[in-house]
Amino acid sequence: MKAKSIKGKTTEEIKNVLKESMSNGYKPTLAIVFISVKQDRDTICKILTDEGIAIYGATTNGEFTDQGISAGEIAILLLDINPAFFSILFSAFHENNYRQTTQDIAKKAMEKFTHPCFLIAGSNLNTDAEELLHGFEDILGKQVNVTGGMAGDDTTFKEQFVFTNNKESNNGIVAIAFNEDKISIKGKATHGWNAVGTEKTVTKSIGNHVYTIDDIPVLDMVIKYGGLKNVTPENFAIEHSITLPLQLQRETGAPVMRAGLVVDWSDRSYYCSGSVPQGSKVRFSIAPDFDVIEKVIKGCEDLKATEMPEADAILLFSCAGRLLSFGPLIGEEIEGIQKVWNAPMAGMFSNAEMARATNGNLEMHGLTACCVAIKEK
Amino acid sequence: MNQHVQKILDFIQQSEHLSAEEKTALLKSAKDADKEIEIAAFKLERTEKVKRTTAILLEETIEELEQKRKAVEAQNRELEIESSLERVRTQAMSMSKPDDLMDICQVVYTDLLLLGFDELRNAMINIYEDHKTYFLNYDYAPVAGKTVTQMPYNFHPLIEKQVRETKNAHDAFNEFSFTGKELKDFRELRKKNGELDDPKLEDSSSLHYYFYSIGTGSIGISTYNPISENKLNLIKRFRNVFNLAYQRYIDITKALYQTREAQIELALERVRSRSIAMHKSDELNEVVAILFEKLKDLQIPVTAASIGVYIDGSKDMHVYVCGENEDGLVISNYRFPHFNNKISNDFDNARENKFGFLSHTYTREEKNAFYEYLFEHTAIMQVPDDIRRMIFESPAYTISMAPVNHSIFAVNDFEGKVLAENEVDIFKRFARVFDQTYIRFLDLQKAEAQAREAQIETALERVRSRSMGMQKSEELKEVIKIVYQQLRHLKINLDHAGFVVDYTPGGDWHFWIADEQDIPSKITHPYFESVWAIQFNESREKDADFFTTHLNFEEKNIFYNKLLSYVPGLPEASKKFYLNCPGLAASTVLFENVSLYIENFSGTPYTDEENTTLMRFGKVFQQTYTRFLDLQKAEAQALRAEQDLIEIKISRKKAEDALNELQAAQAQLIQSEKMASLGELTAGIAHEIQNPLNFVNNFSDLSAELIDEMNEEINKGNFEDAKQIAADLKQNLEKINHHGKRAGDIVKGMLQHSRSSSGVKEPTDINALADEYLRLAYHGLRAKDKSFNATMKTEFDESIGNINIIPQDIGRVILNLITNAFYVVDEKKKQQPEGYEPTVSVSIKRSLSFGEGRGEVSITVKDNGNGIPQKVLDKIFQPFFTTKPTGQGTGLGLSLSYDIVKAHGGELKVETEEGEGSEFIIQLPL
Repeated sequence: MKAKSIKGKTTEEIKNVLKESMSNGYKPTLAIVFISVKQDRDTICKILTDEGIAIYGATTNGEFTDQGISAGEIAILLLDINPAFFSILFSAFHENNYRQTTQDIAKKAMEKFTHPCFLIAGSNLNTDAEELLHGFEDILGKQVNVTGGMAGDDTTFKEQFVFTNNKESNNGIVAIAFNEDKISIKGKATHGWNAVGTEKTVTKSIGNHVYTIDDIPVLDMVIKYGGLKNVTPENFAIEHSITLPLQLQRETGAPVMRAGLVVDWSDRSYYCSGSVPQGSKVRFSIAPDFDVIEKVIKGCEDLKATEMPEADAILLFSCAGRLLSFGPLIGEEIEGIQKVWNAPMAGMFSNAEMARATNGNLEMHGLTACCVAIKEK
Repeated sequence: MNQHVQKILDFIQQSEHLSAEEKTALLKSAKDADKEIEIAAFKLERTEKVKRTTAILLEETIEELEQKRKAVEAQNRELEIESSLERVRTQAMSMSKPDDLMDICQVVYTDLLLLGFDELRNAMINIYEDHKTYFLNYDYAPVAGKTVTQMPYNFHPLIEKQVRETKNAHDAFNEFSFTGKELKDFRELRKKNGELDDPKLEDSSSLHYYFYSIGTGSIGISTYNPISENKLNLIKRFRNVFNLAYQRYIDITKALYQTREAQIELALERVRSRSIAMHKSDELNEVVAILFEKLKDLQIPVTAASIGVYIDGSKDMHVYVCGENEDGLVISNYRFPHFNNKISNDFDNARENKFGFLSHTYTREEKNAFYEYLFEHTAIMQVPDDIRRMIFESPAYTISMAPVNHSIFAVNDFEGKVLAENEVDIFKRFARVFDQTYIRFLDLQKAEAQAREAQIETALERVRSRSMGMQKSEELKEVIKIVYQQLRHLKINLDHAGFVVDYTPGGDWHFWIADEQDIPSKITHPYFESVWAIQFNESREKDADFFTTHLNFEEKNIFYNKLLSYVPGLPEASKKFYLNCPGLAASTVLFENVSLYIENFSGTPYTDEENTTLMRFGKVFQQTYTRFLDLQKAEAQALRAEQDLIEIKISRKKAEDALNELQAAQAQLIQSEKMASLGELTAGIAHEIQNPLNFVNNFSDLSAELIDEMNEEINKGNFEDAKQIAADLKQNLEKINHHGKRAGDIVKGMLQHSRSSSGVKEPTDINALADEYLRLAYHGLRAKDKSFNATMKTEFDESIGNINIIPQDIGRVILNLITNAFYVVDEKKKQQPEGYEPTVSVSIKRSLSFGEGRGEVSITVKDNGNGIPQKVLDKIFQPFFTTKPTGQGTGLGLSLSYDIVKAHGGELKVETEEGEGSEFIIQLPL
């Protein structure tokens, strides 16, 4: 399998680079498209569809390829994978039927492949990404291999989209089901955030809506620890909550990150990137030291050394929060990861990341760099 | 881009001194610098943010740490308090006696000081007791140390109030204080109560008391200054801890008391049950052993325990004593003689004055004098040497004694230890239990003796009744069997019982035997010498009524070999039994000419009681023997009687034969009487027949004449007249027939009279029967004696009709009575021919008064003769009695008549008046 990454500021530019990439006879069959919500998705889809390329697409909070990071642009990873080895599955959610949806997707994949694995992207801030993972587990068991991320919208947290050749949804899922017997996919999720302060208890929450921690409105906690003064809805930037995320302790496996993405000022609560069960133990976290970048890269090197010595392509779902936290340094992380396998890469800054936690279950993460290495067997 | 860098960039680009390469290189450097600046700025900014957050978190953490530190401090303080409380708890838990409360006070005091009670003066525990006028104040203060003071409840109004408020409360608190003059007065009061003055109070302006209730008392402290609320709460915690432990102490004390009580009760129960189970006085050995063991078990310091049972009518006692040495219990019993000695006298004194309990301690010399006497004069001398040594070498001697009914219970100690108060109580309880059960034992003994007596009496009664039931002398074997069984039943050990009867010196021995062997029940053998036989003879010579025999194996077998040689056919098994048994013990009771003996082959001698019982059996047997002899006599008589009976039978046969002859003669006589009466009738009958015969003859003659006349008329052809004559003839013939029949009837009646009775009752016209016999009798007499004449009167009751009688028999009676009546009136007429009219009347009446039947018929034959003289009146119904001249009467008429009437169930009575006549009445039931 040969992969190529292309990028462009406009659809026209993409059209050109695509043409250019295919000029030497390269015939991609699958395009993984990370695109700013501002871009013309329809045109891009048309261009790719015209070329007979299947699309897995998601809007982003910023996108990147091995050629660099951009914002408000388009990044595409092209793969000439045997169409028999994959299948694009798309579904919009209805009445929060997240679990049901992925159960159906899993069933469909089972019809095609004995051992399917998945690369998924979901849209909508209300989507319970954990339920999506549970749906896969319900059908294929706990060991099922699922990675991916939640679509972004240039950090406006308003409307995100996932799409394929002829469909898109602001409340849906696009998935590539791979034949795992033919295609090897390994994911590695690393965040590197440091839990600080004392352990606290979520005293009130419903799903991803967190109201109080130790009986104090969660927003007040964020304001307190952020050292913020005279906070109003108008002057409060969501990055304040994102850069003071919660580490949710799990019974097994490493803790997972939850950051407040949307504030409800009526009761000073916020909606997280994933669910935070009431009664669970959490600690606030501060941005990792800058050397965490090396740690993330090291994690990928470990993956390479132990499970994935070679990769045909690399995908990276990096949380938008990381962009906020690392600022200009984020490039170092992305470049570092790419250099591990030195393969074509595309990725996006996502609203949430999905991968197996270190030594744990499939998890929906936040503030995490989720690296996916793909290799044809 | 950084403005300064931008300026540099602009400057580079605009520079004309730089080559393109240089510009490119510089521009790149500038851009790199810009990027680095950007990164540095970002890092700085983020670091600031993190710093800010970290500072806040640090602050929070510090605050948290501070809280933790405080918590740890509080925890430490709490630990200190808990440690103190633990020490109080430990101290309280280890309490074993009330005085230990002072130690607790000390711990409380020390620990309160450790916990910062700088103003502390002392720690106290007050224990109230309702029945006392004071309470106990356990105290620890550095000044006086540990003290316990009796504080009157009314010691001071404030204290009284404190007691009132905390007494019986669970969670009461009371505080009071003294200042100024009050303090001074209080100090004086304390001194008066014997308490040590506290010099520190000189420098103190006040004294404060704080008490918490503990149910049965209070715990508290006093201080030189008032204490804080916290400290009060702390004291409360001390109270709580102490209270729990103290309750536990009380509970344990109670439990210990109960356990001890249970132990005592158990020990008493053992004594009680053993005493109740006593059967013999000897068992007091075991009872005293249990008493001793149980007293030891209960840690009562005793060297020995003893029971002295007074011997009736004596100051002596039978003493059962139990002590111990290395080998175990040593029990001895001996007669304790009354002798003049201090200790002995003290026993007497205790007994006579009925002291409930006495304890005396004696000097070594007194003790030794006492025991020297005992060792010299009593069976105590048999105790092991080590005990003897202990007795004499011991330094002192204490006796605790409790005289009880019939006995005295005592324990002694050879170190002179005196029983403590609670030990005395236990000792007394033992004495009481022993006393109760011993009395019961005595009652039991009495009851058992009575029961035994009843048993013996029953057994004797069985023997007695069996012997009284003897029908034959042979049954003596049953009697000895009963004796044997009853003695066995009375649990007397015997294998063999026997009677010796008909004893004659030198003569044969006759035995009646009962045992389990197959020996015959009756043995007779010639006299032979044996130990037993010699004893038997000697005893008889000495007029002794009892002797016992004890033979060892050999002696027994010599005797039995000889004895068994006279018992042929004895089964081998039985022989073996007799010869293999270890010995022989026999008891023999002697009476005149008879003896009862019992034997056992174990050789165990019989006890006095058993021998006494045997003698009682012997006495009963003696009566039996008398009966036996009577029976023997009776049997001899019976034999004679049997012989007599044979003779009697022969005589009876003779008599019977004679009687038969007599009866035959009598029958003949009766027949003769019949014939005689027939003879008397013959004339009457002849007269009666004569009339019809006359008619027959006359009419025959007349008829012959008429036939002649008829023939004549016929010849005349005068047939009408002939027919007339024929009709007359027929009439005549009918008359002839009539009178012929009448004659036939008369003959028939005569034949009937002479015939023997048919014995069958038949309905008979009694009126006709009487009438016929009246006429027959009259004509019979008239035929014999023409001069005879008498008036006959009849009075018949026609309503009677037929009655059921044997007509020949009753006819004979009537005839006899009428004939007699005619005879007597004829006799009287012959004596008084003038004016006398002989009259015989026959009347028949029916009455309903006779018996219970349907009534009766009375036939009365009355004459007006001379009557029957009184002297012969009684004899008239006797056979063969007659007043008629010899040859004229058989003397059987009235006798037979009487019998006939009786045979009809009737009565024949006579009423007579001398000179006026007689009246014979036949009463026949209907």
